[in-house]
Amino acid sequence: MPVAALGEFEQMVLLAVLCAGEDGEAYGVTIHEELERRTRRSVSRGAIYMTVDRLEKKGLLTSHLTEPLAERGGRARRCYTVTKPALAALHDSRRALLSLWQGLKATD
Amino acid sequence: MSRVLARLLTTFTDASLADSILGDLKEQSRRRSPRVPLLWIWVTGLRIVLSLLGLRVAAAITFNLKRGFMHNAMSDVRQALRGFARRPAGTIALVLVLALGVGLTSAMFALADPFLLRPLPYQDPDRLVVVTLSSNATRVITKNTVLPTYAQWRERKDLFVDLAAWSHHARDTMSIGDRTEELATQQVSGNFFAVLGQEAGLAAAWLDITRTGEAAIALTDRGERKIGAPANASLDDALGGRRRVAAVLSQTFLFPSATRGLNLDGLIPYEPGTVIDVRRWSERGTPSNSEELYFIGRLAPGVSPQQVSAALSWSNAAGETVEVEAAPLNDVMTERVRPLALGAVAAGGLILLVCIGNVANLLIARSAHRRREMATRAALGASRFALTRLAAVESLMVATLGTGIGLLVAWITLDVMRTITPLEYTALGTPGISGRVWLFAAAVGLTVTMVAAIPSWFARRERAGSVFGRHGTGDARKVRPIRFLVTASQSAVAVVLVIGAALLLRSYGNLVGQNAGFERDTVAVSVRMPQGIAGAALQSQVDSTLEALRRLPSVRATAASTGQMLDQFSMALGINVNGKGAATSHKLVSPTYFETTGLRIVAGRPLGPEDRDWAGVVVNEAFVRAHWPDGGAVGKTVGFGKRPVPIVGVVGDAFDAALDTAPQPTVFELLHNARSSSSVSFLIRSDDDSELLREPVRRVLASVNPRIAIREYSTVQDRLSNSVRDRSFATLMLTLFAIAALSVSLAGIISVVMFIVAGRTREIAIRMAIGAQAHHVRWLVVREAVWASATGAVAGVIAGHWLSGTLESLVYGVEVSSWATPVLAAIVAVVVMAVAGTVPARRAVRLEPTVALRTE
Repeated sequence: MPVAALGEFEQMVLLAVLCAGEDGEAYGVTIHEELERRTRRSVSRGAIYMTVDRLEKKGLLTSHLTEPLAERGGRARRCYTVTKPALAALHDSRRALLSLWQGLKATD
Repeated sequence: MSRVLARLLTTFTDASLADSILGDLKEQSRRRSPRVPLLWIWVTGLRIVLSLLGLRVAAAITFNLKRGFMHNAMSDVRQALRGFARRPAGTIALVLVLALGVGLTSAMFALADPFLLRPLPYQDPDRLVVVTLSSNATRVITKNTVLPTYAQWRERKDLFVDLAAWSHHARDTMSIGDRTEELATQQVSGNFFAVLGQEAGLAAAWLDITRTGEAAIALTDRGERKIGAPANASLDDALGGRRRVAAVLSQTFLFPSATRGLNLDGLIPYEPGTVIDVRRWSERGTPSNSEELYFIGRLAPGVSPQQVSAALSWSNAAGETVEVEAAPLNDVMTERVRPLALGAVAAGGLILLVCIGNVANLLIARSAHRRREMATRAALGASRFALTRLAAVESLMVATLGTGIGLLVAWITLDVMRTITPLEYTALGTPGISGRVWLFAAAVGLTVTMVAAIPSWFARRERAGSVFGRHGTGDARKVRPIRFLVTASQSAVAVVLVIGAALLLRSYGNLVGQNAGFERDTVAVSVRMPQGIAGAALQSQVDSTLEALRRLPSVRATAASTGQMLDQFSMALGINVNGKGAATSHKLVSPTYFETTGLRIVAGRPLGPEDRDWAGVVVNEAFVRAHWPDGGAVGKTVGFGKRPVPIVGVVGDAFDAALDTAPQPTVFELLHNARSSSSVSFLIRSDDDSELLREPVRRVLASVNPRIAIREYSTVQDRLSNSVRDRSFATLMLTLFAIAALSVSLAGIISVVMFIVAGRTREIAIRMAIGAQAHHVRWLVVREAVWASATGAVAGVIAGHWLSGTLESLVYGVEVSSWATPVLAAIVAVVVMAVAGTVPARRAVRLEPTVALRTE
């Protein structure tokens, strides 16, 4: 299924989900932390939740609920996983960007 | 706490994600260990809510821009129209309630606008002040008081840029060609127009005219229409002099006095001398060098009215201070009508509030009806934005339609008001549908619809699951006490106003329906006879006029009398009855007077030529009641000085002062006894319309003597109506409010019953399915509204009875302390409300049980 081009913030969220997933579970808290740590800028939590919701509806993320946890006040974590179409879209995006970066190299 | 945050989050996202977000916040607060974890959760949670809101709005706007807003809007309009057509009764009720609210509020706004908002038509009107002597002048000023002069006050350049004055309100007979009219004139100083800053073209010329002492007149629009003289024409006055028409003032000219400007025909140049305002006429004698003066000043920059008062007040020889008051012109002009204007604004505001309440009620009932429809739309994928947009388009359509009809209601209301509004209420401008009123109506319509839509919008915010799964009336029960209170209050207000209106309508009916004693279609032409005409000459001119009038085609009878018919001040004469003096009204009439005016001869005979030189007089029944309560007045005598004059006849009573003033004891004697009278009334009975007769009558009078001036031309009916103009106005205003209050109460009750029916459809269906009687079910849904309106009505009757005392001065022939009118009015109001409530109730019992249950 062809996937629409990803926006910059969508790419960042997907990559943050991947990074957070490598270290453990990718859910709201860890995605937010990954994004702020790696981009070194403040990121709105609301924007993250809105984006993961939209990406899930687009089929680029899937989610599952963990068991309820006491530290979360008896609530479950909603953990996200990047889907294959999303990986394909990220690779496409990377290729396109790398080829465009050549222009910057040429000016060095 | 977290429940509230969860509720806020679920407004913008689904419940499961909201739950996860709350979990994340809780977990993160533990990791970060902020000083006040709960505060951190709340602040961060609210920030998430705000960013979700912003992102949703942005996404919705982008989506709609992409899809084409117009396409969506047209689709919404179509859907809204379909919705309206499916529920025509509810839609009509909604539009009519809104129209009534917008219409009456706009009418009230239009009524108040000239007095409260529109600036006076003068240059920089805030700098104009009216200067008068304070009420203590009557105590302090004596014959020997030295008064400051107008010239001295005018020289106070530290207080005024300039000070104008006016004096002497007069009625002058003027003629041009064969046209003679009595003109109401006012003398004004040379700088009058310059101080006011109006009629700029005339200001300099008027100063010159006053300086040179030229006999001139500036006609108002009314005066020009009356005498038909253009600018620079020459008018002849009663003393044989000539007066040049210096200018015809524009229609927008406004004389700077609330009462003096009414019926003003012209201004005459005049340079005043000594200062005194004899409105405060001193009982201790008026100084010989005084004259009636009124002042209007344009304040010097930076000077306040208080400073003028302080600077102009002076002390007399005895050390007593004569205080001078300087009041802003705007306050003086609007003083009399401000209570009415503020009353209108308050009434408009009240109507608006009740209207918002009722529109909100109707919209809630409507949205309750449409819960399933909206839930289905949402389930089929309609976004919240789309549903809100649909609601907004519907509201806009209702607002447009309601405002349009509302403006029509306002126009009709104002049109009716214009015909009966007392003159002083129109001095500053006739209320009409101006551009400002259009804007106001549109703003009111839109605001009412939008504000009223808020509760229904919240009521609509339901998930499909909750709507399809609910079978109860739980939410309806929560609002029941408030609903009961609102309905009862509306009913109470309506009943109070209905009681007031009923009292005034009964009183008005008594007034206009009573036998005035006169034939109402009699034309009465009051004239001012030329100066110097008396005795035989007066008789001859009156006789010639009567003869000439009688020769007019269609004229059946003519008569004449001294004084003005229905004049508030009829001539009083001290005569002797049974050897004692008695104050009595006195009229000199032609022999045909009784026949022409329709005054009934009760005993004896009418006056005839044989009654000349006090050979006989006729009296009215009031006179007989006052002096011979047992009757039998014919043959008795009344003393005119030392001369005993026999009574030859008795006529029925007539309301010859005003419809609401009891007939006074009156003696009629023959007009031929009159030695002189400046004022004569000719009375004409004709088969033609009174307006068709106006010009022929004017020509007849001019042919007899071109110097006879028509003072007033009207029918007895017109004069009778004018005599109760104030009462008509009060009656109309209160009746309008009563109709408005009753209508909004009806709408309120209908919406309450509709709401109850919507909430209990399933229950009604089950009851009907198991064989409930229709009237039982009807009572089930109507009873709350009926109890509420009945409770309100009881409160209304008590309050109405208590308040009806305030109407005592306005009612005529009605006992205000009686309970009959309040109770009857309340019963009528409650019956009307109960009948209105049964309309939606009837629809409830017509529901097919199976259909109702399936739809639930």
